[in-house]
Amino acid sequence: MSFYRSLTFQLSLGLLCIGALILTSAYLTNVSYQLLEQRDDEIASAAQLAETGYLLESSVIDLQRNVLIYKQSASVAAINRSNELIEKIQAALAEINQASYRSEEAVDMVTRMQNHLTDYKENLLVAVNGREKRQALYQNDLLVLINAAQKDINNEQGVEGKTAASLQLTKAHNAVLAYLMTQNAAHVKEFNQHMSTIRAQFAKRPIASQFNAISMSFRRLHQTIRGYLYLTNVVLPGTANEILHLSSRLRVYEEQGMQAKLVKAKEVTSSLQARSELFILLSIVLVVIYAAFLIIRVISPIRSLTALFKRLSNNLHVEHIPYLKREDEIGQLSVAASVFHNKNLQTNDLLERTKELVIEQKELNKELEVKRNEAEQATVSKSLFLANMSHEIRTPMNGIIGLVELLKGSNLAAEQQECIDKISYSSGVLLAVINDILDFSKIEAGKLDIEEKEFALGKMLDNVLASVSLRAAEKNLYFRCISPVGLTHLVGDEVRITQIILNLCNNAIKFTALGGVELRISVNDSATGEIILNIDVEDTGIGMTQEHQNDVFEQFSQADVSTSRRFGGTGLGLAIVKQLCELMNGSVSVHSQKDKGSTFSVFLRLKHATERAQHKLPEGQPFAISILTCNRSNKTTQILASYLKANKCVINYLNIKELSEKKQQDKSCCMLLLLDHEMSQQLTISDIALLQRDNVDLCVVLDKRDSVLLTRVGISKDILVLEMPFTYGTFYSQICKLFKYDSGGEQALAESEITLNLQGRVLLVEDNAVNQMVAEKLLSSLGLETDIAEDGRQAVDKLSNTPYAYDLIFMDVQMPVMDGFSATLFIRNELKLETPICGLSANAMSEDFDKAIAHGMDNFITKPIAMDKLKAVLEQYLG
Amino acid sequence: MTGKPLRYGIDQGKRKLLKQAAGIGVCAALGFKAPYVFAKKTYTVRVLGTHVTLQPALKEQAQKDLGINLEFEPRGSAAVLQKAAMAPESFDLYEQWSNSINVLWYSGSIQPIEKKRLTYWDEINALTKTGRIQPSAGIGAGDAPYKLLHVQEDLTLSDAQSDFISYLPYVHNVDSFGYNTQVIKPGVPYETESWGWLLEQQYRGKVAVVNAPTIGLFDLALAAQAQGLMRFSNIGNITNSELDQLFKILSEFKQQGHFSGFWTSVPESVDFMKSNRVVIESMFSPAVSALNGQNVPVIYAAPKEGYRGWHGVMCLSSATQGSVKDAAYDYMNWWLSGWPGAFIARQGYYISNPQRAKNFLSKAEWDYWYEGLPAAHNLTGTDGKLSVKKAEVRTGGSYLKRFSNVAVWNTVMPSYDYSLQKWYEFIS
Repeated sequence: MSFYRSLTFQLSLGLLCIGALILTSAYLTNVSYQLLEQRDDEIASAAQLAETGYLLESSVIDLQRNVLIYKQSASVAAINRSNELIEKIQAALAEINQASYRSEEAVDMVTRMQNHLTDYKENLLVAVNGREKRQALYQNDLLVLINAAQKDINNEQGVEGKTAASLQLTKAHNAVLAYLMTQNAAHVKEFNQHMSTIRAQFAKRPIASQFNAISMSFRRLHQTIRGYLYLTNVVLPGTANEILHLSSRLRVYEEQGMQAKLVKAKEVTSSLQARSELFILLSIVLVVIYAAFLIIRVISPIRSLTALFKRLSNNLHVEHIPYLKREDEIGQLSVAASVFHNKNLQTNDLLERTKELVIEQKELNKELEVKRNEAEQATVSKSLFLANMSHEIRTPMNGIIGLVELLKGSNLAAEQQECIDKISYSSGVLLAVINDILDFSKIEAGKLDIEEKEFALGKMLDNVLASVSLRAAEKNLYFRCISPVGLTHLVGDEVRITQIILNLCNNAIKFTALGGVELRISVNDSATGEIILNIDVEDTGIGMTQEHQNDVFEQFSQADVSTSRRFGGTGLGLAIVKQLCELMNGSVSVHSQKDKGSTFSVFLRLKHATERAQHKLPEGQPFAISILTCNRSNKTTQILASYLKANKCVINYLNIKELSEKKQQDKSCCMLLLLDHEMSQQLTISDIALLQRDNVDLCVVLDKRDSVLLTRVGISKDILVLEMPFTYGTFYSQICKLFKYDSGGEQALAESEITLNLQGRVLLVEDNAVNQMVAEKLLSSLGLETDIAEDGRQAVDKLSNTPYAYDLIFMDVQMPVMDGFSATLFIRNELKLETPICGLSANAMSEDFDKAIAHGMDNFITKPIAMDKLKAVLEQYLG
Repeated sequence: MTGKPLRYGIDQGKRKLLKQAAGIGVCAALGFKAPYVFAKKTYTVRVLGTHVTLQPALKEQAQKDLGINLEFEPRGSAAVLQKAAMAPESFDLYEQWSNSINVLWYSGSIQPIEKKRLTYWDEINALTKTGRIQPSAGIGAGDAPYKLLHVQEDLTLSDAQSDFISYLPYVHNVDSFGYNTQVIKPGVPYETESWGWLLEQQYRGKVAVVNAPTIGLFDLALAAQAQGLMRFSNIGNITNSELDQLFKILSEFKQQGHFSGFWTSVPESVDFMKSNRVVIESMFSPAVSALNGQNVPVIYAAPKEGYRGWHGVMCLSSATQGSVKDAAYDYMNWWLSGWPGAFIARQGYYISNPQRAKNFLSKAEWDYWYEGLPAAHNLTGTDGKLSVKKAEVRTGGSYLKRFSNVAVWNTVMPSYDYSLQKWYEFIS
């Protein structure tokens, strides 16, 4: 749309026109008024000038009168009055010259008058001077000369007619006086005649010069008078006449001008009137046109379009949209209406389509629901499958391990024994792998719960060491443990912490070929009142590159494929460690150098335990001890020393050479012998003998790998031995024995040594025949009579029949017909029997234990059944 | 008369042309033998006079030529005369017309001029030496200038030759009246044109006369005589009774409002005519040139009764002595050296030694201005404007013819004292 066709433009143009008209009118009026004002001023000015002209005329006439008076009387008053009048005329002329509205002609006249006046003034002055000069010439010159001449004539000797001459001179004088009175040339002539008569008479006499002087003097006087008369009679009146003429002309001129201006002012006023009327008429017409235009072109279209829009907004049907062809804003509105209309149609279409889409969506959602259910079902199935698999794999594994365990105990040939050991080992590894996978799956599925229970740190570490030291020994690696001195108990998930330490240690051992592994446990109080358990596992293994360190904790990650091939393993170990750490609000990190070794560090936040064992020697008693070592600075010596120092023991380091001297000094003493390969070579039989004397309390400290050294050096087996690796707990109990100090922990250790003396009848509820056999064998090996039920139903039946026939029930959890939990519930609730029930399950997970307790079981052990655990249970219920 | 400079004269825009003209004059002067000495010290010569000869172009040229400084004080003739008569120490040189000589000489304001110091004395023509421009010419009534020239032993002035003169004869001319041909039909020179026109009834209220008894009185006397209103026994020496009769007649005319005014300066006379205040008036020739230059068709009449002649005089102040006097002599000699004569010739004036001026005029100029021949081509005036159209003829004819027809000279008559009284009564 062209801008010029827009309503904005058209309306603006109309407004602009009206505005311009009004402005022009206002401007013109203003100008007219200014013009009128100016005209008024001009008229006033002209009137003023005319008046001044009158003043001028009268002044000039007055001036002439006064000059005439002066001429006649030489009156000073008249000349003063004349000068005043000149000033007055000058002032009047200056006033005219300064008038605001002066025509060029008036200015010209004034200028001329001013010039005339200047001349007049000058000439008047000259005339006044001339008159004075006339007086002076007569009084001071001519009269003096005549009087002198008269005197001289009288004094003249020998001349005839002196009296006549004197008379002539007197007559000449009279002629002068007459001339002065009348200014008649006849008197001049008379004077000259008299003078020439006298001159003739006194020719050639000295006095003649006097007469010449008189003649010259009068001539001068005569000329002066003429000049004066010329001014007063000719010049001054001529000038005055001109001024008079000009002033009267000026007056007339100004009067005429005033008249003309008055007429013109009238004309201007009437033309102004006419013009303003015209403008008003024009404005009215323009406004009417503008209003008509507004109604026809704007308001009525807007009204109809408004109605149209109303229909459109109510989504009513519209037949025809008007004004579409207009190119102005109305046209745009129509276009907008048409767009609106089209949009309405489109919206309706869209609505239809949306409805269809919603229906489709609903169907899709239904499908999705089905799929989701299927997926959930699948997950459930997978979990079930996993659980089943776990059970199905563990059950035979239990059988195998149990049987192997049994086999170990039987009388076998050395070769068979070796085979059995390997089977046992392999089974263990297999079980560990299976457990790893299961654990990982559980963690992945978020089904792993972390327990918070009190546990004994030392005991946990002992178990760990028992496991890992064997492995290390197998690879001929050293394994050292540094454990905390003060603290014995913590709150946390013992199983998982064990798992972490085991994984890290096994990992270290696995990747170390030379040297060994050092496990450092330390505890620190945190600022929040918790205990930070710090576990460091340092090895001297193959190490890792920085790159590998970054993803070593990722699942299924080993340094490379070749690593995996070389060292085997699932690659899940460290991933599990990491996840367990995170589950326990802890962290794990690694610091490693390729080919130098790695250090894994774990920080766990644990809580203080309420139970606290005193694992320290009492203070105040002088516990002195000698350490016999080849190398005072080796690691083992340092660990020992640090433990001893923690117990405030006095340490005396000895080497072999000092041994004999020492022995001679002290009658009795406590001694730690650090038996290693070097020591074994240095020790002589006499030394051994010396050490094994009665007054020496000896404890041999040796590496688990080097147990053969004991026999080699000839130390009897019943001697106190501290095998490396050892925990502080172990060290403490051994050192107590050495110092013959009775500590609480010694009792427990002694108990385990006691051979079980058990009596009772046990009901084993177990569906698996192999497991039945293994358990039966184990129990019978402990001297217990066992009855077997195939499933929970059978067990319940048996117990219904003979409720008091059994002293203890081992109840498998997963069984056909009736599972262990149901059976237990039945026994407790229906049969009301209090017989101790111990759950058996391949599920090593903690929730199983909780579940078991909740169902009324008294205890729970996992399969494969470990002898020591079995013993502990039996001891508890049958001992 | 006022000291108003000639309005048509030399205004700023025309200086360039004047300079050119002056330049030509200098070249010519240098080509000629330049007898005057250039003083080493610049002396200032104060010149008192009227606008007729005190023109800026002349001043510029003279300063350049002489190396002296000139101070021009142009004033109205009455003022000039009064000032000179009362204070000779206020000027060095005086320039006016011959009717001021008696006044100045007998008031002791001027000193005699040595003939021998005037380089061109011998070239000065007969008009001032004998009174007749040519033997056949009439002398003209009144104070013919030659009668006042020579200083006598008894310090009176007469035509008797002596070594001293009262004035340097230089510029002169004949005057008459001018009339506007838009109103008055042109007359025939020397035949129909008459002084009597000034008193024609039909021009009542449109007539002006110069306000000077020594000049205007003769215009009116000639007019009255031409009209046959009265006769004068000697128009150059009108008696008191004749004056009484004349002014009786004139006052009647005045009563009827015949005279519109009495002008006191040339510019004023120009204005009178230009503004239509008058259609006929006594005039000086520059006014006629000016009016013609402004397209006011004015004819300068050649009256059959003859002209009123006037002669310019240059007088030496009695107070001027020494080096300034020498410089004054230099200036007097310069005036007769040709260039100034040619310059004023172009304004219609004549010089006392025309032959030297001729050297500075073109033939056409000489022919027109001096010989009274038709202009061979257009002639420009001193203002560089066209002043004479081709084929125009100067009214009154040649220099000789005009000066052969002088009816009366501007004269201070014995009845002058009385005429002043009558004049006053007439104009008041």
